[in-house]
Amino acid sequence: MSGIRGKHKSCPMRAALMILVAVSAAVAQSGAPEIKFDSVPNPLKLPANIYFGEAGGVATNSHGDVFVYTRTGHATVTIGTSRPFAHGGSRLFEFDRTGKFVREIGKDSYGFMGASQVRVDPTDNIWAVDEMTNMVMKFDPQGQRILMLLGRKAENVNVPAGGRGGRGGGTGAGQPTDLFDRPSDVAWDAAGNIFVADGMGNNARVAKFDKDGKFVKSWGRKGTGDGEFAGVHGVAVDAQGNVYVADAGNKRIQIFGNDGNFKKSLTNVGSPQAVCLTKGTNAVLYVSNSNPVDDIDRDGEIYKMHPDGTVVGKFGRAGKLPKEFGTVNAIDCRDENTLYVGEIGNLRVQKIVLH
Amino acid sequence: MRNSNCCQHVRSRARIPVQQQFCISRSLAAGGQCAAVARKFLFFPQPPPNDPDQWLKPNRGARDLRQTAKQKIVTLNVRQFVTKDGIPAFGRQSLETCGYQDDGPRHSPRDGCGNGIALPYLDTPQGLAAQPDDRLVDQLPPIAENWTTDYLPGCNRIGDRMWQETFMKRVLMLSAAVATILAGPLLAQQKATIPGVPEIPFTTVPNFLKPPPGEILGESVAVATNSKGHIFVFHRSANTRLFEFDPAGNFVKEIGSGYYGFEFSHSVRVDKDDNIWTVDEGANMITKFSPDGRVAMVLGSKPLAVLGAVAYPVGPNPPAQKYVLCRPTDVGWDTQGNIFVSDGYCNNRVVKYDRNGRFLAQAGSEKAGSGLGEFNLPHALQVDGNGHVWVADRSNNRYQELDNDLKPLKEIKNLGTGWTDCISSGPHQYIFFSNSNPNGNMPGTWDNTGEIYKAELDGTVLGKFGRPGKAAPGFQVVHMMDCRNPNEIIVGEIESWRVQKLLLKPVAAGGGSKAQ
Repeated sequence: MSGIRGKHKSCPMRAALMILVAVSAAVAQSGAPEIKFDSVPNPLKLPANIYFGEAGGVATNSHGDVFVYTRTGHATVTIGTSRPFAHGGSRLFEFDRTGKFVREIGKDSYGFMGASQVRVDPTDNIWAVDEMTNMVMKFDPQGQRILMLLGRKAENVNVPAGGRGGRGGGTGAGQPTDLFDRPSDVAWDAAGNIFVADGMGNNARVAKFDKDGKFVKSWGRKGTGDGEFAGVHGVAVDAQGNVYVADAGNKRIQIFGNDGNFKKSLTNVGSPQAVCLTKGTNAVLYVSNSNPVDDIDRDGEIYKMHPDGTVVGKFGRAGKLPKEFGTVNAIDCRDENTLYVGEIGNLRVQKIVLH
Repeated sequence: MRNSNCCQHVRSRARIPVQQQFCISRSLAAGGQCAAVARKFLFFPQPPPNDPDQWLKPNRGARDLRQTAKQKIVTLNVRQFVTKDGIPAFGRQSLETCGYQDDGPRHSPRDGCGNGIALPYLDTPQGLAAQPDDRLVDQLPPIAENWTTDYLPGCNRIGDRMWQETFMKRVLMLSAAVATILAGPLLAQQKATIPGVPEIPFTTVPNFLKPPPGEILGESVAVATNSKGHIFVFHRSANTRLFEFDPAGNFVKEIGSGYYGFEFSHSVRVDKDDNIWTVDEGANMITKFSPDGRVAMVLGSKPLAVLGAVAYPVGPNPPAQKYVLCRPTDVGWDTQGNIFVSDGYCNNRVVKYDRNGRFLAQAGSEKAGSGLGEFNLPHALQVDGNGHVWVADRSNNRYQELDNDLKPLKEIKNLGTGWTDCISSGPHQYIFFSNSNPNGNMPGTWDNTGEIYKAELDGTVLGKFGRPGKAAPGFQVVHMMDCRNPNEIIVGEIESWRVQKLLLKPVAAGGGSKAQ
């Protein structure tokens, strides 16, 4: 029974949602200039028998290939076993730069249940983050082999969800270990150190690993002060190694030094659910003030800003049409003016061209 | 009584807290078989009359029972045992009962149970007392002589040692799930009262649809055609699936294989541009597929999977939200493309969205009601060329016509229970109403229900056709009709896993009775 962990998840999640509902009405920057943009029709061509579910993550590699990690649904709990075991529910797809379907990666993987993000590192390795198996999986650039695993999937699940206890209750500091609770994102600094946003469950922290996957440290706990979080939805690292954390529940981006020393907060972008930082020295930060899944009449815009907090402009709004967004969970910004945006609510990925 | 099968509620289960639930116990007869049944009972905590015949005589009805005992209404998950001889009629002995009330266990499971009677009964909008005595008794379902509880404590051999809170928490959800699958309902199906409706003769096309080799349709709850005559069947096989057939019934392709929004089908409709809309009451999602089968828009959303298994909902419905559907049942459009949704098994409302999926209005709410503009299980809807919305208000045993802003115009109560409706295309529209025979047919049901009515939009009923039957052309729970061509009706049936194409024969004008 080693590795069984209570998952006291539903209550914190609801609390986080309520916080979102309560505070996100007074979103900042309503006066930010509108950026003209278009949505490329039908950017990713799926085979006839494959459908996107909730698009947890989307990312490109250096060749422009596109990876989508999506919650296709129908996760299964088996019966007639000693304990309830769960599997399935998410799939990872690869497309070429023209949108043609290339392959499925990690089909029926043990670690794929609740897609929360996919990212591609500087050497084109593919990293999938799963908020149900609580794993971060590093695939080689071809998607054929696992190069590294962080975290471990619980052996079995609680049915119904929830239960008493669970890891990291109380302060939300998380266990000071290399295990996650609903991790949401992964990023790297120039030295290859790994930063995991952890997460959307009981943990409220950023966990740092070295390039070999050795756990170094973590920082953060639940709260509203500097260095405290309410729903860690994303992470990005700039060329200097500063760590940008999407602190959605507190409606801010917090910026830390490479070892977690707090530097500043950006509070003018609503509730950031997805972040992306372009490469290079004049980096641009994209932040999605995503609408809640159950409401398309508010929020939904994406901000383009400088890392110092200066807003360049914004585009989009919540909705179901092209050029509207349904709870954006992922942004890829390898090209500063050609973004891939993954949506939870609309079960799709849009390719956005900024003018 | 509403139950949780594909088309019926089970909300009533929540009314009695666990500690107030009673259970019924009889030893299991040798050779019996059992099925899980969720049923609501009148429970008489006092010892029953000495002569069981006093309350079992067929000509004594619930009115008398209500007046002679301090009964409670309780909801039980029970196993109904069917003896080797088949389903027996009413038992001849009082049923042993034991119960737990607010003050805790009255009896330990082992020291014998208190006496009492638990009787199934009909739950109608008019209430029990309004039911004619004979009719009530006639429609009572058969009760097996031998009962035992399904997971409830204290009454069966399993339960003896299992009256423990942790176990109860665990099994209640499972038993609900089992009951959901196997429940045999006790439904207040209403016989139509409209007089003088002529029969429309028809034939059924033999072996109409040909699924792929080695595959069969599941519960064929939803069927629709597009402008080219292709037939879409959204059915419940091991997974919910959407099949496309050509006009001759040959299989063309599957759409949405493994799709996120498919969990438990309820309706499929095709709009004027041949987009295919699926209504899924398990995923709480409505999906618009483009004519080539790609997802174009979704309404509603699933609970996030990471939150885990969702327990069967109990208690009052939470307030209805603009963009959250709760077991939606059907979809329709007006000529402007506004979207209308009947929602559903837990909400009791009709919602209007604009063509882009933005909320505009709703009629009804999360609460069931029987007034005009209120609903109790809105089970289907269609929109006519005037933009009026026709709602099958099933548990109210009626249809309602709403205007385009969802203001109620009228109700129709003489066509039986409003299961589903359909409005034909073209400038002269006809509307079809199905008084479908219910799931879990009771003795006598086939005599009372199962027919489909054809009417003008002004309510003039032109004729009726069809009757229950396991074999075609009989209907075994018509769940949905396609009537693009008003002389070729395609019906999907729940309990026969079948889609029939019916060719109506011309009939001389007659009848003229009004639907009202």
